[in-house]
This record gives sequence, C-alpha cells and structure tokens, in this order.
Amino acid sequence: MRLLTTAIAVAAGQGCVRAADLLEPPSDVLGVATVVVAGRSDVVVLLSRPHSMSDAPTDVEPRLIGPDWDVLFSEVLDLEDDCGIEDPEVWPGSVVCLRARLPEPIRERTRYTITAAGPAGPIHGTVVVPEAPEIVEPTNGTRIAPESRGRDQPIWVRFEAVPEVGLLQAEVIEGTEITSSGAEIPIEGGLSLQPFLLDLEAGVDEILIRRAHAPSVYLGKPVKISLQFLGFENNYASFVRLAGKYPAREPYPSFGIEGAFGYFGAAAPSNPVQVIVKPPE
Amino acid sequence: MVRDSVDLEPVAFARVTVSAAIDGTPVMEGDSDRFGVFVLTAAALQGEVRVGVEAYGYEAWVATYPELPQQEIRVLLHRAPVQLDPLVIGVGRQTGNPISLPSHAFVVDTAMMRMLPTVLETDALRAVAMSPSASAPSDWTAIPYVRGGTGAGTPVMLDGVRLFNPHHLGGFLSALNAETVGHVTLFPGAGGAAQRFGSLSGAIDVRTRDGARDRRRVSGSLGLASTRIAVEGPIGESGSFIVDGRRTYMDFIFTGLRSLGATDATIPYSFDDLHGKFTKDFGGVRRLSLTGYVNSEAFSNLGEQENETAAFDWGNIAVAAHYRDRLGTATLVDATIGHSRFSSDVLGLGGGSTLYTRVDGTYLPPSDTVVLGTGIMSENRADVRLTSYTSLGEVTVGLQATGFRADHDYAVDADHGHLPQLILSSLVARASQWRLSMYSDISTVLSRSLSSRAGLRVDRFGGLATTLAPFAEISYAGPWWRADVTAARSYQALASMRDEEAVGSSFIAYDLLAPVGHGPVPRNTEVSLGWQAGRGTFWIRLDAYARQLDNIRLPILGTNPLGGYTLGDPARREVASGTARGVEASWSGSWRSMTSVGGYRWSRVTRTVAGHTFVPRFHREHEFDLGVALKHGRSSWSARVSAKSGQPATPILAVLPFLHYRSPESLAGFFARRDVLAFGGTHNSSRLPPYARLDVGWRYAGRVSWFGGGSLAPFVSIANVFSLPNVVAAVADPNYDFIVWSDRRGYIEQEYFPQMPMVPFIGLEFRF
Repeated sequence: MRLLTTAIAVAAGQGCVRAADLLEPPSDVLGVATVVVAGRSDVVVLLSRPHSMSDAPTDVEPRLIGPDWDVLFSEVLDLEDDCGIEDPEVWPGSVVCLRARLPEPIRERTRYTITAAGPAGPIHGTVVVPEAPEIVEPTNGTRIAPESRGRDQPIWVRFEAVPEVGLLQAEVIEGTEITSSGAEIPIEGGLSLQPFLLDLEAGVDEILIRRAHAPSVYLGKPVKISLQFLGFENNYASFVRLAGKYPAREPYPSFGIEGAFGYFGAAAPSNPVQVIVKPPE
Repeated sequence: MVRDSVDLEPVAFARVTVSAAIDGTPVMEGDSDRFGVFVLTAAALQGEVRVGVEAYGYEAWVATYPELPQQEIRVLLHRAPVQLDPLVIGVGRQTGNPISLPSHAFVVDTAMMRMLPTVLETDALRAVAMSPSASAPSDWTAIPYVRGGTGAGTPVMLDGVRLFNPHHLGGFLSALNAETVGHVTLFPGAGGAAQRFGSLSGAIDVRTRDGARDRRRVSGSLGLASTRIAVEGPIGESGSFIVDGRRTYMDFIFTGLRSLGATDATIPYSFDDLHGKFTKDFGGVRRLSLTGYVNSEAFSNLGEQENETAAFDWGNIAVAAHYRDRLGTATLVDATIGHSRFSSDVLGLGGGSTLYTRVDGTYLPPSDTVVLGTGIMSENRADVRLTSYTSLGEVTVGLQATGFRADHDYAVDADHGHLPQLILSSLVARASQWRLSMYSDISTVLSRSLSSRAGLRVDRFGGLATTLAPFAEISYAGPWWRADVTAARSYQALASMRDEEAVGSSFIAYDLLAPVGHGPVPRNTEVSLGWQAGRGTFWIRLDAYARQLDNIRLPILGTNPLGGYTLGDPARREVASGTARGVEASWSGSWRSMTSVGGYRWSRVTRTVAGHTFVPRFHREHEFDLGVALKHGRSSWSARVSAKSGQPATPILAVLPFLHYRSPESLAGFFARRDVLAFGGTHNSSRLPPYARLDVGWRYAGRVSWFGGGSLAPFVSIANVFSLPNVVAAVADPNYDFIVWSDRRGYIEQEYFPQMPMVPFIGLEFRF
C-alpha cells in the first residue's frame, strides 16, 4: 500500500496534460507565398521550410515568368525590415525572403507564371492579375464630419469589383493632420482600420478608422485620409479564407501553385481616394 | 407480486419458479417485472403446485398450494446476507450484476453505481458506460453513445417519458439523483423489450424507486459540487412517495471567497434538480404512479469585466403518470402518459476590451450582441400496452402516440462567429410532428431449449411516411448457457443538431432535436448474435453485431470540421448513412468479498455524408473497462481501469505560417497580420495516442444511531490516479513563445485537448 501511495504521488507530480509534440509531417514541406501586384516593378516571395529549423530553402531557384520575360528571385531581403516578419527568431522553421526586380510593372488582366525546383519535383504556378476595383464613394476630397461618440471614425464606402476579384482589402495609405498654415504632418503612430476585408457581395461597407494612442481621429485639426482597396484574385483569396480553419480539409481549392504548399496570388489596387475629416463650417 | 419485506418496495427481476409439488417437475419460470409482478399461467398447471421465489440478497421464499390460487400471491422477501454459492444457478438478476438477466439489457442498480469509484458524485449514466455497448465521447461527458449511434438515437427515458439533456456541468454529471434511481437499463438494440422506444440506437431506461412503505426515510449526499437529499415514506396504508432534490453551491462558495478577498475567481454558474414520485396501490397489481421532474442550469457573468460576457439558462421539466391494472386473470394493462419540455435562453455580448485593465487601463464593456436566442423542444407521449400471459407464451400489444415540437431560434452575429466559446451557430428550427404507433410481440417456447420472440411495430409519422419495423429473435438455452440471434429494424424521425466532428462535442453533451422535415425517415437495421453463460455469481456475455444506419441527418464536413459549431443549423444537414459492426464481451461476478464488472469491445464505425466516408471522431476501435470492488469490514475499496485505442484525428500534412499581404504604403502598422494554414489529410484517417486511466475509491459504511438509526457512508476517490495525460483532440500550431529559454521557439507543435487529469473527490452519503 505504501508503495502504491508513493507511486501515485510521484505520477501525479509529473503533470496531467500531455505535453505538446513536435509535428512531423509525412513529407518534406516547402512553403511558397507570393503576390504579384499590378503597377509594381518588383515581387517578393517568402520561401519556407516550416517544419525544419536547419535547412533554409535557398536552393529552389524560383523564377517569375511574365508576358515576354523571365526573372530569377535573386535578391535576398532582410526578413524583418523588408518582408514584414517582425519576429524572425520565432518564425516557424527556416525561411528566406527573395525579391525579383521586373523589367516592367505588373499588368492587370495578364497571366504570370512561377517556377522553382522543389524537394519532390518541379514547382509550377500561374495567376491572372485581376482588373483593379474602383472606389465609387466617397469621391476624392469628400469631407466627413468627425465622430464624436467614440474612438472610431466611420467612413461609408461603395465600390465595384470584377467577378475575378475574390477578396477586397481596405488599406489606409496616407494619414496626415493639416495645420492652420496648410502644412500636412503625418499622424504619429499611424491609422488602423477595420474591417480589413470588405463585403464584396454587398458592394458597400462601413470602415472604421482608428488613431493609435488617441481618443478619436479628429483632435481639433482636419485629418486627411487616403484609402485604397486591393482586389485579390481567388488563389490568394481561397488561401486566406481557409486560414484559421482547422484543419483545412482535402480536397483544397486551388491556391495557384503545385508542387509546394502555399499560394501564388495577384492583386490590383484601386484608385486612391482622399477624404478630409473636419467639422462642417 | 414480490416485495421487499422491510420497505415494501417491489422487487424487480426476482426469479419465480412454479413446479409440481409431487415430483418437483418445473412447469414454468420467469422474472418479475419492474413492478415486482409475475403472472402464472393457470392452463399449464394441474394439481398441487409449489411456487418458489428467489432474488439475490434475499432469503428464498417457497409456498405450496393444493392448486394454483386464482387471486394474487403476495410475496414478501426477507433480506439476507449474500450467499455466494456457486451451485445456485439462475436466481434472477443479481444486485450489482449488470448482465445477470437472460436478455440483451445491461442493468445498473444502486449497488453497481456505488461499486465503482465515484467521479464527483455517484452517477447512473457514468456507470452505464461500463457496458461494452456504450461509449462516452470523452471523460467530460457522462452520456454514452450506443453501438456506433449518437446521443439522439438513444433516448433517456424517465419512468416512461423522454428526458431531454439530463446532465449538468456540460455533461460531466448526469441530472439523475442516485438516491431515487431504482435501476437504469441500457438497451443496446432495437428489438425485444426496446421495441417500444421506437428509436435508432436502443434506449436508456431509468426507473425510479417508489419510496419506502415502512417508515419515513431521509437519504442524500454531500459532495464537492452539490448536495442531494431525498425524503421518502408511506402515504396511508397503500401509498408511498419519494421527493428528492439537488443544488450546487459552487457559485456560493466562490462568491463568499471573493467577498472575503480570498480569490478573484468567480463561477457564476448553478444547477439544481427536483424530482418527486407518488405511488398508490389499489390492491393486487393495480397501481398508479405520478412522476414529476424539473431541472435547471444558469450561467451569467454579465457583471464581470470581460471582453465577452454571457447569460444563459436552460432546463427541463418532465411529468409522467403510469397506471397498471389487469384484464382477466392473465393480462396486464400498462398505461403511461407523459410530457417533457426543454427550454433555453442565451444572450452573449462581445466587443469589449480588458486591455491594460490591470495597469490602470480602461475597461470597455461589451457593446455588441454576439448571440441571442431562445428555444424549446417538447414531447407529449401516451402509451397503452397489454401483456397477456398465455399457455403459448407472452403476447404484448401496444398503442403509442407521441407529439414532438421544436422551436429553436438562435442568432449569432457574423462579426463574432469566430469566437471559440460559441457552441452554436445561427439556427432556426420550427417543426412539429406527431407519431402514431402500434406494436406487438409474442414470446413463444418452441421446445424445452428453444424459444422465440418476434414483433412488429407500425409507425405513422405525421406528414412523412408509414414505416414497418419488425424484429425476430431465436434463443437456445443450454443447461448453464444461452445463445440467441436477433434481427431488428427501427425508425425515428427526430434528428440532432449536434456536430460530432466538432471538438466541442467532446466537452458539451447538450443536444437540440427537431423532427426531420421531409423523407426519407432515418432507419436502423441490425443483426446480432449473442452467447451468455452464468455459473453462480459469475456471468459472461459475448455479442457480435452489425448495423446499418440509413437516411440519418448529419452535417456536411465543411472546411473546418474540428472547429465547427457543436450545435449547427439543421438546414446544413445532409441525408447520410452509417455502419457499425463489432464484438463485445462483458462479464460480472463475485468471489468472496470481491465483485468485478468488466467489458471489452472491438468495433468499426463509419459515417457517409455527401459521398464522403469517414470514421466519426468519437469512435474508438478498442475499449476495455474493468471495475473491481473489494469489501473489507465496513470499508469497500474500488478501482476502475479503462484502456482504449486512440480516437480518430485528421493527419496534418503541413502547417504554413504566412503574413497577409499589405502594400508597402499601408499604415496598418502594429496590425501586421500573421496567420497560419494547416493542411489536413484525409479526414480522421490517423489516430490520437491511446487512452488509459485508473480510478480508485474508498467507501465506508458506518452505522449511527442518530434519528432512530441510519448509515453514513463517507467516500474518497481519485480519478485518473496516475494522472495519465489522455487526450481528446489535437491541434497543430506554431510555437511563437517569446520566452528566451524555451527550446521550442519556432517549432510547429501538436498541442492536445486534455481528458480529465488526476482529480480527487470526497463526499458523504447518508440514509436515515
């Protein structure tokens, strides 16, 4: 009995929840994530081996093929400064960020191809850049009354997008305060907005703009906000829609790439629209 | 009629033997029913007869008559110390022995409930899961699934009326008061005695006690979570009552501790239940019993400083009346009417902020309605059954009418639909349906060893279809063993809104039911082969079965099976099918002061939805359970060992972290969005680690002279005594641990949803 009591006490002290295991997928996993954006003359690709800490994917030689050109992603970028990975030391697995400089800007309604040498054979993907969406309302220069009831400044938007657009993302690309002298001073801490993803089906939505570290967007001086919408085609849209679902179940929709896990997406930015937040005169 | 000589409660399952007095030639034998009644067939008897009644735990009763009396024989059995004589064979069902009946049923009585280590409280439904036919989906829920079916296919009946969601604490505890339960019978199949339930996967039939007839008694239990108390006694010369209730005090304890500054924690949750039964005897077999039951649960943290707050309450009521009489000398009439109703109200708020509240930040109370809804489901039931005991055999004819109404309306705000604590999606289900049934079966002795039982149930589902559900059973009885083969079909038009693939289903047992709005009617077809043997107090039963479930309603798997809502929109259900086949072994027995009950089961279960076939997530191929109790003086020690193969899980082919694209000019700043996509393989094609658990318990039966004499039974138990880290699901996720000494930073790990860790329980049961 004493032995049993001791055994129980020892076992109980070992913890009661199964410790996490390292996930070991059945095969080598290479991740490829890239979006070509209309109007840009460079493209960045994130290559990763998310389940391997030691074997960076530097040997896959990804290439982007345009209408009449073919370029290698040859420029190695800094993960934190250039690729948006704020904490590369805890980013899963090994990762490398590469850039390809293009001979011409990415065009709308144009097909692009990506190729690479993957661990299990060639990697191949294609995407067609969609036509740019259009912000119908507000129009450029629209004045909006400041919101007095909370931190968020609502902006009602109406937009149009072609059926090839599967995801519409809102962005604030400029936020300045206009002084009495007419000078424009960038807003400290920036502006954020919600929702990021707009209701494509409805064609209208309400965007809430928030100023970091401040009780409201309008603090006594007019605020100029530039909005831009990015229309993504369905390779990227499908991937984003499945993210967070656990686990994504086979058969997966097409993410535009074969021979690797990831997506080959494309986007086209809308016309930027500037609105002024200021009380009516 | 067979009764206990002390409290005059009917003694069910007593073995009654009628023989010729002159030479002892047996004429007939059988078991008393749940009201202690056994009908002798006069036509089979000539001359002087001897009637013997034996029941486990009682002295044998024998009387000789010049001829069989035409009036009722009242048998009062005297309690006796249990004699474990291996030569005594077939003394009817034995106390604490769930398989000592010559039928497919698994019977749990209070002795068996207390034979197992207590998990929080003595629990009838947890004890039912000892049957190899029954499998609990996890440690967290007490409601078992039967032979590859789901909860909706196995109704829990309380004295003849359906009890909706009979659990507390999400399903951890059944809402059946152990003090009042006489016995719980699990019917794993659709044929035989289970025919009257008209369900897809058998039934769990709970029969409450009538209450003591000798004097007023008080019994109950003080536990960690709640207190139960039951008062019972006679009413006049021929009546009895039992009233029992339970209330948790977890909320009071934490409120008190908080007011004293001892803790910040709060448990704004409570549950209670109340049950009453009144029984009146009118002489002979004539009796009337009325049962009433109500339970409720409530949760509210609307006053707490949380991002999301909620208030919900739900509960059910059930009332039933049963009347028994006789027609002529050998026909019993049982009439039951009942009503059962479950209701729930849910309000969830979200959109608040607790950011920096611990460092003088501002608390923003929730401003959005996340979920709002209310729902009811109710069933009215009337059942009249005639049971005739003829020289050819036992014939049962019954008429049954049920009306079911569902009115569920819950709305979930799309902006908050991702919250993991949401167990239900937006759903609206309003439907009513009546069901008119006629059923009949006949049991015939074909020869000295061969007997048969066959029946037919005809159901008219209002606005839907008329169905025929036959069953047939042939049994062969050897000198100490019995074999049987059964084929049966059954229908039910109620469908569940549960999604068993959602991980929440392993933690939440609640279900919402609604009639299927259109055909075809869900159907079960099964065949089973059984062999059973008993020697003294040792019994073993082997079963092999195969079943096909057709036209059942299941949710489509969707893109996110594991993360789906536990209760989903019935509009998303598909007409689906399922299969189950398996082999079961169960045994029970006593030796000296030791008692043991155990079972092993191997089975395969599949579901097919929208052309996709998979193993359901709750299913384990192998399950082994063994309960052992050892009595030493006034103490009894118990242990329960469970070993099971791992549950199905979906293998992960890859987990890919990525950043949502944003333009270089974007001012999103600190809102950089990191996300992850887990690529799953074939649904449920891999296995989680196997399961093992040992529970131990100690119970003491002390006698005290208080209140005229009674007993106190303190108990201590430890669930999962070795703290084995069993799991119920797994999720792969990157380890973004910023702790510099973590050696797993940057690795993608498989994290587990735990089963029950080691938990000690204490309590005190009393009876005066």
